[in-house]
Amino acid sequence: MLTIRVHFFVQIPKALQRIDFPAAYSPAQESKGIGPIVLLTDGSVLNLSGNVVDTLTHKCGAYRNLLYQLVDQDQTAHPINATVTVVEAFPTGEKTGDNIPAITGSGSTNANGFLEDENGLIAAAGSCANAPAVSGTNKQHFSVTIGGTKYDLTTVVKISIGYAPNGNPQYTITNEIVTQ
Amino acid sequence: MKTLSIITLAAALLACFSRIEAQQEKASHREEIRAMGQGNSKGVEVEEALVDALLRLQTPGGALLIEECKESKPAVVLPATASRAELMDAIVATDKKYYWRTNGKSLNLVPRWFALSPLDITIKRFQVRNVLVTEAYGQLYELKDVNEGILDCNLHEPAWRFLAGGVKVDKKRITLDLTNVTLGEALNAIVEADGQKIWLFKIRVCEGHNEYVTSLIN
Repeated sequence: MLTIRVHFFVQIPKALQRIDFPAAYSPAQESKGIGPIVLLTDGSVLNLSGNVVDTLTHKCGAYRNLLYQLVDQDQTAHPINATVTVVEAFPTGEKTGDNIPAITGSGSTNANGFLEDENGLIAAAGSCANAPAVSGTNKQHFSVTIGGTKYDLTTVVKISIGYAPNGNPQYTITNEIVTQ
Repeated sequence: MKTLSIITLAAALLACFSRIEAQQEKASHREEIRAMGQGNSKGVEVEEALVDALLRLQTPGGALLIEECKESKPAVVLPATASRAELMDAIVATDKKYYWRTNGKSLNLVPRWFALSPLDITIKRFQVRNVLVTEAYGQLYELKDVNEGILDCNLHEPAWRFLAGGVKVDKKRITLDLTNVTLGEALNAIVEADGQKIWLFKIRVCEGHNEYVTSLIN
C-alpha cells in the first residue's frame, strides 16, 4: 500500500516589506519602495499606475508613493500573492508634534501581494500658500482581516511630515519602518 | 462525643476545602476564557475598534466620530469570539460617548449628544449609475446639498490633512437613485450596495474650530 504524505503550509499575513518599484511604475523610486516627493499646486494624488487615488483632485501640498509587499509568518518570509484589504490605523496616543488630522484608511494588495500607499500633507487647492507651518509624526499600524479573522501585522511605520512656508515652501515627508 | 465532634469538624473542613478548590478551578477556568479573549485583540481606540468589529462581522456600516483636542482616548478590547451585539456593546461600554444602532443592513456608531449632526443633512437627489463604489462615495461629497449642509453644521476641512491610505483594488460597480435622504442614509446606501465597506466621518473639535475628515474603508 502506497502512503503519500503531503505537508501543507498555511500562509498567515505577518508583515509588510519594502519592495522595489517595478520598471513600469512611475515616478521612479528614490530608494527601495519609496518614491520622490511630488508637489501639487492644483492637482491630483496619483498612484504608481497614474490613476487618481480615491477622489483626491484639486489639491495642493506634497506626497510620496510607497510600495510594500505582504509576507507570511515563515522564518524566511514568502510573499502572499493574493488580493486582501489592509487597514491602516494611526493611534492618537502615538502622535508627536502638531496634531495633523488623520483617519483610519485602507488599501488592497494586488494579485502579487503589492500594497501601494501614499504619505503626504495635502489641502484644498489654493489654500496652501496661507496654510500654517506644521511638523509632526504619526505611527502607522496595519492589519488584515480575512474571513472574519483579524491579523495584526508586526510592521509599524513612523511617518514624519512637515511644512515650512518661509520663502520657498519646504515639505518634509519621511517614512521609516520602526518595527519590521 | 469528643470523637464525633472531631470527625464532624474534619468533614466540615474537608467540604470547605473542596468548595474552595472547586471555586479556584472555576475561577482559573474563567481566567482562561478571559485570557483567550484578550489574547486576540489589544486595546485600540474606538475608530479602529469599530473598523475591526465591522470587518470581523463582514457587515457594512459607518461611524460619526467626535475627537476633542486634549481628550484621552479609552482603549477598547474586543472579545475574540463574540456576537454582533457583544462586539458593539464592548465599544460603547468603553466609550460611553457613543451608542450603536442598525439602519437597514448597516451598523452605525454615533455620538449620544452632538448638536448639529452632518449625518442629518438632507439630500434632494443622489443618482449614480454603474460607477465604482469609490466614485459614488466621491460624488456624494461633491453634491451642493452636502457641501452647504456641512458648512451649515459649522464644519470645515482642516488647513492640512495628513494623507495616508493605500490604493484600493475596487472593481464593484453600483447604481443608486436616492431621493430626499439624509447624508447618513446615503452613506449607508453606498456601503450596503457594495456589501462590506465602511464609511467614517470624524470631527475634531478644538479651540473653537470644528474640522472634519472622512474615509472609506475596504
